[in-house]
Amino acid sequence: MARLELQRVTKSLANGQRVLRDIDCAVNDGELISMVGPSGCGKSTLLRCIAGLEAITSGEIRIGEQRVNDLPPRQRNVAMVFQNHALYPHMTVYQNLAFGLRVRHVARAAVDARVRRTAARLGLDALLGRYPRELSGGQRQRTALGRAMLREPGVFLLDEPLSSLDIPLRAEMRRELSALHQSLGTTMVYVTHDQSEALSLGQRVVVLADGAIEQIDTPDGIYQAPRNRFVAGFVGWPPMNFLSEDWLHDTGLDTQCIEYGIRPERLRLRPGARGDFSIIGKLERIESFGGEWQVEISRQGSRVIARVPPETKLQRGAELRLWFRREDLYAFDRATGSRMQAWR
Amino acid sequence: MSGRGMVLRASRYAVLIVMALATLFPLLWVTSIAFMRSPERFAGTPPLWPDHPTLVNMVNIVHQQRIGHYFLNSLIVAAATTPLSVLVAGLAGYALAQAKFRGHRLVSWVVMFAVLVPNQALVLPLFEMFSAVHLVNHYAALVLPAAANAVSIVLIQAYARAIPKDILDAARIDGASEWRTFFSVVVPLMAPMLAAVAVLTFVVSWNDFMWPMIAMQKVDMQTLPVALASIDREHYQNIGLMAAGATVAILPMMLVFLASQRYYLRAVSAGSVTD
Amino acid sequence: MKASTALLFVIPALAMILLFVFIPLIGVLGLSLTDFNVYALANSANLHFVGVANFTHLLHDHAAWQGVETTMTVVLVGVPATLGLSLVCALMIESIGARWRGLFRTAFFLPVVCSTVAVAIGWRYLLNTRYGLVNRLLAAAHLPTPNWLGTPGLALLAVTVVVVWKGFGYGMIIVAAARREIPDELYDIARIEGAGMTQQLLRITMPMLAPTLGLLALLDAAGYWQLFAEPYVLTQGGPMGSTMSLLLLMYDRGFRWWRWGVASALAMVLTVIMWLFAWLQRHTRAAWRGD
Repeated sequence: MARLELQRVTKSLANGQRVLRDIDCAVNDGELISMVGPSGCGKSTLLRCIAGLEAITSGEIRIGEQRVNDLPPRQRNVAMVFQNHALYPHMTVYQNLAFGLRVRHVARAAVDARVRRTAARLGLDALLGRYPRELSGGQRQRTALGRAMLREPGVFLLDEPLSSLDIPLRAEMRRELSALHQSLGTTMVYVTHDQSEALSLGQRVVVLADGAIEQIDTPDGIYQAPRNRFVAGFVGWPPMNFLSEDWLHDTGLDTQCIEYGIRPERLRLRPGARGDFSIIGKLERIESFGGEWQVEISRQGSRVIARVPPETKLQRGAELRLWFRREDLYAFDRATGSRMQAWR
Repeated sequence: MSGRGMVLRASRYAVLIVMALATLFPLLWVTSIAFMRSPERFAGTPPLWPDHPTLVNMVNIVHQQRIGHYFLNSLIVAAATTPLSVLVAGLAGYALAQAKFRGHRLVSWVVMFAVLVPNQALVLPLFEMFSAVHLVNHYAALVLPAAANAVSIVLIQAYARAIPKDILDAARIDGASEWRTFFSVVVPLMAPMLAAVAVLTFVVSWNDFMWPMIAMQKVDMQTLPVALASIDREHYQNIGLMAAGATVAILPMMLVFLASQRYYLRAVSAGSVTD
Repeated sequence: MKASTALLFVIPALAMILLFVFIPLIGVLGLSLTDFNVYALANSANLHFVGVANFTHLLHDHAAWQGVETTMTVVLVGVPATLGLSLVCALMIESIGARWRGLFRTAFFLPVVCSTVAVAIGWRYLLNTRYGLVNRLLAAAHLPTPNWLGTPGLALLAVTVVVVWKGFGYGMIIVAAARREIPDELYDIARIEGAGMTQQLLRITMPMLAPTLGLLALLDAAGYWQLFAEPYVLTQGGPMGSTMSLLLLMYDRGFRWWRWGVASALAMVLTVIMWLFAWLQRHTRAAWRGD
């Protein structure tokens, strides 16, 4: 178990392109932190740098008390779970689990005991003699997790471990992973491109874009208090609506220097208190999700999506007015993109 | 199936059977004569099948001509060349496929160039080199040059490109050294192609002729094909004896091929797609 | 993988290739510019640089020209014959049920794995005027029964036959693999559009196989240029030098007469011819890919 600290971590490629820029981040001992960002933002590269699979150009990575910049992966006390599991296809589940200990010359009996204990914990006991090709997706996932757990690493690195699973299985494994983290209490770094996964799993979330950290906060903090327009737009589904001037003519808000955003679930079909704002547009689309509808209205080419309770009276093509409270608006500085804290 | 289709199908089989028999005939005939008592005694062509099968030719080729000795030489050379060549080519092919390093282009170029050099044109300086270090008439003279096989490297490199990078990274995280990763993870993953290259190397080494003839000047060190060619010069008229010798040279490779043709043919068909 | 480890992995191969391919190649080139012979072997003081004298000597050497002609004949006759047999066998094998495919594939491929010296001994008896089965069959059909290995033109034909017999199985495997790569849908479409067997062969199979056949032609050619063991056993280059291939001539000049300068010049000629073929291969493949 160990604390992980990244200080001004930068990585440049041979062609000068900087894929990681001044990454500063500390993961507490026992914390599960998720890293999320659009593809190509550098999150996987960062993880590989922590693992020691890739070298950083400058800055410092510390695991526990040790500076690990120049240590090879095997000396960093980390374990990693890969996107496609990366199980050794020619080894049985047992051999896959045992490999990491065997190469470290742990005594055979000790290896055996640990393999069996871990397998029992993950429900793999009956599968120890099987090869990866004979396992289901979930079983492979558990084997990959088991392989990482077995070595009792200081830091557990997970690189989109659920993305190769079917959707129902993904939710199940997510819960299992969360429970596992609670019982193991190991420091974990969880990389994903799926923001809902990041928010539901991480105790804190790191949002990355273009090789730099946009925000580090708790899931609620990220959602409710995004630091800038990028984070606001990236987190949440459907994404936050950014309202162009056309929508806000009659509100009297300053749209010159400020851009406003509103989350789809904050828009309502009926007015609440006095002083609520409203916007009006042509109802373009209604999409039913059973208990909830998503409606889309447009005005001069710009669109707004709202999540509302089902409402049979709505008619496509008709004008629709949506209401919201002033304090639900997010305000962003048009020049810098950062959120104006004073607004709320 | 229509009548015309049946005829077409049957004729295809007929043609194939005739061609297969014609192809195999020289091999079968030699084997048959090897078990015939003095085939010269027939006025014209010996019969296709020995009337009284005998081992006398085999006994002669083994006892008088010491074919077993040459057989052993060939076996030693092939058995030493194969693992060495596969190891050297396996390491290089894997590194070229999976690693980035300074000089990668240069090494690739060297390998591709080596593929294009006719080995047999190099025997004069090779002989000079091995004479200089007193390795002529030594197994090393046959093993070392044969182990430097650029074609094997190309075949293995093409195969090793398909190894997922994540599996190699997993091994590194698991704490395996590069060597351990190679032997515990990479070799098992490349096993089909390594086996193919091994069989190919073994057969080529066994059948090699010109360089062994030059490098093994001492009779005791000759390999089977070389010894066979020189016995042939002397006992050309003794058909039974020579047929027995040829059979001894051919049969082991046939057996090796039959036992491993899955791998062998994989290497051959892979040869058509590499570039 | 660290660069230093990767380098460690390639160094054995690199060292062996440099030692046993590149250095000898430079050696051949060097030797071909000297008068290295049996006297130089005894005392290196007898070694002289002679420039391109060996090459100009070869230009006037009847045997060298005959060697090129002989080898080229085997290439020009043998390659199309090998290609034809490879193609026919591959297509026939691929057209029958999978159950018997393996058997025929094995039958056609077996000569490839056999020792050339051994099979050449067998063929020599097959072609023998007295015991040979070939002439007996010809006699039975009331055809002339020539002395195959004793007549200049026929001896070269016999050598070519053995070379083709031993080589076509290799090409068959490659063509069969390429044939399997052609999607079945193409044939389905052709049949729906009314193309018959011949049409399918000419319009689909052959164009799709063309690049493979082209590659194979050049592979076979590169191999046949290196003809050595077959004539060595069958005819020793005779009669009257009619089956003296370039390599056989090099061996003769080098290890019978110890005229290494001339022998090396012959080796260089062969190497350059092979490179020409390699270049041609690259060129034609690029052209096929290009359009």
